[in-house]
Order: sequence, then C-alpha cells, then structure tokens
Amino acid sequence: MTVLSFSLTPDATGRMYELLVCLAKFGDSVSLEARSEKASPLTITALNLSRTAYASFALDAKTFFISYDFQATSSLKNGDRFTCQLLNKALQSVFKSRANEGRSRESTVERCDVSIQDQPDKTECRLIVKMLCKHGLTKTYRLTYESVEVMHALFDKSAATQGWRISARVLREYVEFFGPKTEQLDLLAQDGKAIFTSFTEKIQDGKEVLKHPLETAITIHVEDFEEFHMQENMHIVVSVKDFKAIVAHAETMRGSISAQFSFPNRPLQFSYQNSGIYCEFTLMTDDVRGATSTANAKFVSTRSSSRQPSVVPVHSFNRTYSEMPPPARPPMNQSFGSQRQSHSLGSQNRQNSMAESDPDPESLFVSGGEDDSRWDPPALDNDDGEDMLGWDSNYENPGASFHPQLEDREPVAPAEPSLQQTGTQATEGLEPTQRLSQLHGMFD
Amino acid sequence: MANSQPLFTAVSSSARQLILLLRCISFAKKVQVRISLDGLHFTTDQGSVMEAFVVLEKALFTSYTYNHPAPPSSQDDPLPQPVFEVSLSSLLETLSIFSLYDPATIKRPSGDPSFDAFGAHRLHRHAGFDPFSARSLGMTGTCTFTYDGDGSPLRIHMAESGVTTSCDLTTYEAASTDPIPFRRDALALKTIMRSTYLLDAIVELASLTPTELTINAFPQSRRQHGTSALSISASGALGSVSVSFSAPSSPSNGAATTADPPILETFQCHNSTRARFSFSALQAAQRAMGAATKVSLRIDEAGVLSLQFLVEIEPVSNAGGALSIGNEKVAFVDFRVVSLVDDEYAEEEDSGGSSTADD
Amino acid sequence: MRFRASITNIHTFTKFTASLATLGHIAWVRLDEKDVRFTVIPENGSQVWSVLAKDAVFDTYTIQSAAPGNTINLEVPLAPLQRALKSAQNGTAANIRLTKKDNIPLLSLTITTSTMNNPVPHGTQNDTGVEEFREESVDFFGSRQDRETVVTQDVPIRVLAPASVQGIHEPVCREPDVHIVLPNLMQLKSISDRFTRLASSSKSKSGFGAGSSGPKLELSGNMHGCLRLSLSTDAMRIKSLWTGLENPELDPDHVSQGEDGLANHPSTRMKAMGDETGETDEGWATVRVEGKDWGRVLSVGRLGGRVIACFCHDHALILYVFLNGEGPGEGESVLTYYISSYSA
Repeated sequence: MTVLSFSLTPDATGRMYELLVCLAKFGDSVSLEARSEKASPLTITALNLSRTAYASFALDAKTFFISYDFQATSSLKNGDRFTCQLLNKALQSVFKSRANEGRSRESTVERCDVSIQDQPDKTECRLIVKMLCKHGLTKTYRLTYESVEVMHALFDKSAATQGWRISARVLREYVEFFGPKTEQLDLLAQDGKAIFTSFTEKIQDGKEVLKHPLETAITIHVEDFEEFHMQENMHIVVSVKDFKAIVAHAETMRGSISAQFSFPNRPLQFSYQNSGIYCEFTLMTDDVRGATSTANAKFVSTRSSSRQPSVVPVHSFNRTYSEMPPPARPPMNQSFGSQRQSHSLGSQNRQNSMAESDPDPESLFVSGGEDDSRWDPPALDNDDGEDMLGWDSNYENPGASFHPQLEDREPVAPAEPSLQQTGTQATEGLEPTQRLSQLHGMFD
Repeated sequence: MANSQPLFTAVSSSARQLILLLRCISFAKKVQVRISLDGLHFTTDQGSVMEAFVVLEKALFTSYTYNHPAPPSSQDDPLPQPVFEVSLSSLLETLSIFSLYDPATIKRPSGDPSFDAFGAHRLHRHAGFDPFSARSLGMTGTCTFTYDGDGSPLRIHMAESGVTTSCDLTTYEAASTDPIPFRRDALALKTIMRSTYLLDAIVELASLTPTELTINAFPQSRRQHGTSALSISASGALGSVSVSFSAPSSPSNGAATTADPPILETFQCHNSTRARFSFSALQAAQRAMGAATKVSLRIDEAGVLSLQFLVEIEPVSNAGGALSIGNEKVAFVDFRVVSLVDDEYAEEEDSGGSSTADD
Repeated sequence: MRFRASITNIHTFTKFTASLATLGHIAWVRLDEKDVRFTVIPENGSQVWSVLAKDAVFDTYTIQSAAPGNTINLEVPLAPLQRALKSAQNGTAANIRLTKKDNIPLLSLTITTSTMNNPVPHGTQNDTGVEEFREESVDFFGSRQDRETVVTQDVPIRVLAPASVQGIHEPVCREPDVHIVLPNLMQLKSISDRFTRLASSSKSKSGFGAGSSGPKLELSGNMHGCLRLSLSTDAMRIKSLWTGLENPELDPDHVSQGEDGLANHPSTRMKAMGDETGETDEGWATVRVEGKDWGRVLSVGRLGGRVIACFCHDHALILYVFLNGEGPGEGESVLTYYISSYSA
C-alpha cells in the first residue's frame, strides 16, 4: 500500500537534485523520514561514516510540495513515522537530468510524482518516481529502499550562543581560495576580523614539506557579516570538505548562511533556508591547534552597544530558528545516544552542553579554559623577526639545529662529484637535458 | 592504372561536415570505405549484432571524380567498386586537425562542476583566449581525398593559412560481412520522433548501467486513453527505469495540437510488439542521436531494429559558393541492431548467453 | 635573509608559473637584485631555464641575503604557487614575501580584494524573520563596500644553500644548424597534440616508440622558413608543413669569432640547402621529441612571446621564448627550453 505520496514542481525537482548532490558529500546513502505533521513533514538526511558530520534537509509541506499525503497506519513500525534509507546515487540519477535541463533537453518536466509503497510482508519495497514531461513523455523509476530507523544529530541551540551570518554568495567566492587538498578549517575572531584558515597538519619532514598543501587564510572584517558574535581568539576547527559542500549548496539557495556554536570540541551548526527547504548541518568541531578560550573572554561582535538586549545576536538567532521545526524528536534520542555515537556527535555532547547552559551566555566562558600564548595567529603584518630566516652559517653544519630539515642538507655533499663531472665535460658542453640522478642536493 | 589521373579524387571545403557525420558511427576501430559514383560509403559494425552506415554523398564535396574503370569487354560484369578499411580514429583525428579549438577541451581551472561561469569568462579573457576566432579558423580548411586503387593509401591533403597537412592512411583489405537484413515490407513498428527524445531516454537508462533494454509498442486498439504507445525500459542493480511516449492524437481532434506537437510524429503498430536489444549497441548510437534532428525507429517482424537518423548539415558559407545554393542539406545515418532472443524462444534468462544466439 | 616584493603583473606571473608547472612539480628559484630565475629540471623530459626581469612582474623589490651576490636560492613547489597566484587574479593588490611559520619557510602571498558583496536583494526569501533580520543588518552596516578582505596563501618552500646549487649548470649545446621563428604556438600545439593522439591510438599494436616513454614526433626545420612535423604509424603517415616562417639573422657580435664565425656557422651551411617549398629532402635539421613532453613545452604559448627554435640536428632542440617587455629599461625576460632528441 502507498504510505506516502507527494508531488513536486519542476523547480522543487531541481532543488531535490541539488540537495542530493550536497548530501552525497556526506554519505553514500540518504535517509528519508516522513511524518504527517504540517510544518515540515519530510526530512532527508545523511550522516558521514565517522559520524562527525550530519546534514539534514527538512521540506515544508506547503511551500515545497504541490501535494503531500502521508498515511499513518498501525502497520508502520514507528507509529506515526515512516523511515527508510536508499543509495544517494540511485536517487540522484532519477533527479539528475532535471538539473541540466533547458539546454537541449526536450523533455521538460512538468511535475514529479513520488510514492512509497510499503509492504511489510515483502522484502522488496519500492520508491516510485514518475517524471511527467511535456508532450506526454513519462519517465518512471522504481528504486528499492531499505526500511530502517533513522538517526538524527542533536544540537542544543540554547547553548550555542555564538555565531555569525553572511551571504552565501560572498562566502562561496572566498571558499574558492582554499586549496583542494587542505583538510581542516580554522575559524577565528581577532581584532574586529574573522579569519578563516584552511590548513593541514604540518609535515616537518624535510622534502615532504614541499608536498604540503597551500595554507590559506582569509581575513574578513566582521562588518562584512550580517551578524557576528564570537569570542576573541577562540579557534573552532571543522572539516574543509564539509564546509565547502555546505557553502556550495547554500549558494544555490541564494540566501545567507548562519553558523552557531559554543566551544571547540562541541557541535557547530550551519543553517540556511529558502523555498521551503530548511537546511541544517551539524558538525563536530576541534581545536587541534591547541588554542582555547581565555579567562577574560572578549568578544568580537557586530552587536551594537546602543542596542537593546533583546536584539543581541543570540536572540536574533533564536528568533530566526524558532520557526524551524525541531530537527530531533524525542523518540530518536534513544538511538542517537547509542554507544557508537558517544565520541562524535553524541548525546554526551548534548548532555554536557545542557548541563553547562546558562541563561546568561557570557557566563559560559568564564571557566572556558586557560590562556594559551603558544598559539601563534597568522601574522598579517610584516614582522621582522618572522621575516628573518635563513640557512646562514649554520646551514651546512649538521650540529646546529637551526632548521628542522637540516638532515636533508646532508645530500649537499654529493654535489661535489657532479661539479667535477661538469668540469671534465666543460669543453663538450652539457647534455641538453640533465638527468636528475646526476644532480644531487637539490631535487632529491 | 597507367593513367596518371587518380582513380578517385574529391575535395571538401568543410571537413567539419564530414567529421559530424563520421563521428556518428565512430564506435568501432576500423571503418569500411566503399567508393561509388554517388559518394563515399562508410560502414562500421559491432560484431554481427549491430552495423552502422553513412554515405558522404557526392553533393557534400565541391568536386568529386571517380573514374570507374570500364570492364575489359562490354560483355563482362562491371568491375566491383573499390572497398577497403582504414583506421577510423586516425581518419577522424586527421580531419580534426584544423578544428583547432574544440570548446569541449577547454579545461576548467578546477574539477569543480559548479565552477563559476563568470569566473571562467574572466579567466579566459585575461588569458587572451578567444575560442570563437580559433574555431572559425577550423572551418576554413579545405581537404582533398585521393585514392589510387588496391594497395595504395587513402590520401588526405589539407591546406590552411600557412600550413598544409597531408596524411596517407593505410588501407586494409575489407572483411566481407553480410549486411544485417532488414525487411522494410514487414514492419512490426514504425515511429518517428525528434532524436533528442531518444537520446534523452538512452541517457536516462544509462544511469542504471543496464546490459539490455526493452522496447514495447502497443497498437491503438490495445490502448486505453492516456496510456503510452511506446516505452523503452531497462533495469539494473539500483532499480528500473521506463521512459514512455504517448501516441499522437487521433486525427479526429487534430485541430487542437498545433501548439503542442506530438512527441511521436508517426506511429504505426498493428500488433503489440516487444523486443530486447543489447544496451551497448544502442549506446553506440548516442552520438548519432545527438547529431541528428529526427530519427525513424523501425522494428521488422524478425526483430531487427533500424534507426535512421536525419542529420541536418549547415550550409557552407565559404567563398567557393558552389554549395551555398542548396540551403539546408540533410544526410542519413543508419543503424541496424539484431534483437536479443526473447525468453519465449530461448529459456536462457541472462543476456550474456542470448546476445550471441543469433549467429 | 629577506625577500619581499609587490606583484604588479599577476597575469604574466600566473601564466609563467602555469607554463613551468606543466614540466615539473618543483622549481629552483634564484632571486637576486636583478632578476628572478626559475629552473625546472624534471626527472624525465625537457628542462626549462628562465629569467624574469624583476620589473616584468615585481615592484618594490627588496632582497637581503648573506650569500655572495645577495642571492637567495629556494625550492618552490609550482602547483601551490600557481594556485596561490590564481587567487590573486581579481585582487586589488598582491605581495609576496619570504617568511617562516611553525619553523617551515614559506613564500607568503598577501592578496587584497575589495569586498565583493554588493548587497544582493534576496527576493526569494519567504521567511519574514530572515527578511527582517537582513534589513536590520543592511541598515546598520550601510558602508560595507569600502572594506578590504585579505587573503594570504602560504606556499611551503625550502631554502637552499649556495653549495647545493653550485653543481647545477645550464646545458650548453653546440651551435644550432637551423634557427627559425615558430608559428602560432596555439596552432602548433593543437596539431602536435593531434599527432600525439594519433600515435597513441595506433601504438598498442605496432609497438611504436621504443621503451616505456610515449610516442615520438619528428620535428624538422630548414633555413628557408619551413617547419615540418611528421609521424608514421602502422595506420598512417602524416605530416604538417609550415612555410614562410622567419629565420632570424644571427648577430655577429653574439657568435664566437664574429664575422668569420658566422661564415662558418652551421646555419650558414644549411642555408645553401633546401628551399622555400619544403618539398625537398635536403637542408632539414631534425629532432625527435616525445609527443606529450612537447605538448607540455608548447603550453608556454599562453605567455604569448616570440619563440625561436634552434635545431641541433639529431641532438637537441632549444626554444627561446622572449616575453614582451612593457617598457623601456626593463631587463629581458626569457625562457629557455632544452629538449633532447631521441634516437630514430
């Protein structure tokens, strides 16, 4: 029998593809959860393998769908919910061609009908997608799905008192600067500026240094944000890959993207919404660079001192989000709090943050951590001490450890033979291409 | 061949047109070439499952001379037309030498598919690229074909401002294969549509990486209102896809259809027809589907599929002028595909066994 | 040791780096008071020795080193440098300097961009909360366009001791047999790449091209303005012929033994053979180049300079790529490619 059926406009069909592309960057499979409630009855989610990143798209019944019909019956294992999982790839191929329509494709979609036939007694369950195109062309897809329980990440918005909001388009342009191989992204507020640094754990090992990816720091005035409130000198680290995936999708939604967070090692949430799609990404954060908040927490904030407390950023965020459906529902706490989750986006985090949450957001940071002067911020202004570096006289002396890669200098010695070699060949000239093996000390 | 005049010479002012047509059948390594008085016949095949052919008609060339040798005596049968094989990729690459700047080969700065087009424009502008002028260069080249009989190479000579290229393609003895028979007089199905519809359907099916596809057709008498007349379907590990086309409206209410042209311009089918084909064979025709404007899809009663593509060739605008008289010229590219033996006849279920069954 | 400069010609520098990056991953960069030298010596394939006059791309150029001649030698990975330079394409200013962070020496690019966000109306917003929120912030930060965003790109490098680069010498070849100005490199590259592809497509069955390296193209030039590119495979024989190219006159001042040297110069002897049609077999100096490597060399065409090819028959091909200086008083910027000929 049909548990769920809904119809989409061509525009929503294209949006569906875009969100699937985004979800594919988090996991191979996507989970669907359907409910009968009005607000946003259908949620499509993905959780990454290491369970450190969770992406969720909640679709609004009125805005996103032409029609939405959910038959809650007793046959459903979860009572009033239907959940299933299927391969993102399969679903993407269904919605794929819609994305590049308008070029030469004749078959413009006029409506997309989706229905899920749940047959508890049968192993083969089907999700049927019908693309109704112009001129009586119909494409029908039958995909198999797996009926499984779905997990959602929890995020305690009330504890996440810091955050920012910026145009996704602007952020997208900056994201392009990050090198393709960098792994982590450090978010930092300093001197009235936000600094986004993409980096990779340092390799100090001589030659390997040259394989180190480009490290990119982007310094943006907080005034370029629509909203900014973050503790000075606190580092929040997330995955560059996740961040890029989110920003790329956010840009297609043509709005602003918000970040909300509390401390390093606690979850952070990115969110944005448009066209009846509520997008939330909960990412586990890190502070690998060993920096933590200071005892005397100062904030870099666009919050105006003349403003009423009621419009401080925290409240703005909450007000905005109050219209969003709670992404996590009580029944799911159980599954989410399972052992497997405890080290990533787990219930522990939730409990901790709940325990520490305080009506006064400022108080959160009083016992936040210790001052860490080891942290060396990316120096933007020229610093003579920084600029001075050299091999100098120490360079060829293995005893003096001026450079960590000093041991790599040892191959310098074999340069002598090649020098002699050149000497003998001087009259005949050098071969037009010298083989690297002849050259020591440089490209070894 | 004591005569100094070559057996065959033809000059084309647009290698582009020839490439366009030859690419349609470029799924095989070698192509069979037959020279006749009417034009150059090119044939490729995929085993005995599929064959494709295209004729570069005499009219496509600015000059076309084939000195068909007379038989020794008028009583004898006429001498056979020259037939040989050449490497198809070498032929295409050679003809493409002057299509300097293929836009498809302009690399995007990153592998990111969502790369900002405006950024690309800026980048290219600053890099001093001008794809249009470079491409137009490629259209001005003329090319000359010569062939001097058995054992001699097929020579292509091309000239363009400042540079000439000549290429001797090694000719190989043609393997003699019988064409796949197609019975025009015993058709089970005939339908005509824009070929992009067919391309779209094949691309859609390809997402499941199927090994075979099924074509179903239903005569009007067997259809209820609103059901489709033709469907193309396939299944794979991820699920199944079916693309269905509704029949043209019946003549009785034909007046209402001017704004909304029917997807099937012609549809003739008297009995329900179902046939299965190797998906790779249909995929091999994808380039033709992309190049053509219309396709006539026919299945005869023996289950042989014929796809005839109508390819419009843009008028040549060169100063030579000879070709610009005819406005839009058309060429035909033909594919024939043998159906997989149906389950009703053979018990073997999987396509692996049945694809060779018709040898 | 100190190096700092502002980059005035980011496009040239980017294209320059991109051309080098096709040949190898790492460049030896030598900075001194006059110019910047980039040398790429890949494990396999052609090498390039290039000189960029400092004024060609830099301004406010500061260098300070304890080494003789006030030079700094670095090993620089080209791909990250290229990427870093690319991000400066739309910047308003870009500076490069030598620095150190976490004990790793870096070339740090600092790029200033003007803020790109002209406040776009978000017409599709349908959430009133968001719209309201936005208006507040737009209203509050009215002058948002005037700020600058700073992007820093840190390229990890290695600093080389003078001794470690002493043993590297630019190749010296005998006097060339033929020197000729190459035709439009885009056309030459496009045709060369087709040839390479043709060779690869028929390679499998013929065993063409000895060893594991790719297919070889035969490149010939004569002293009568002809350049010929040819290839033979089992499936075909193909050649492209350019005519009417320029054979630049040699300057006696730059030839050893002056006028006498010129009279006995190999190219003078070659001039006596062959003709302008390129149809004869005489008078050609020929080299065999590896198709893919040749294609990588030709990517220097993006710099748009004048290219002179010097053929040492059966031995080597040397390309001189002269970049157009933008003003008088600028030093000469030239890239020199050394391409070995493979044996037939």
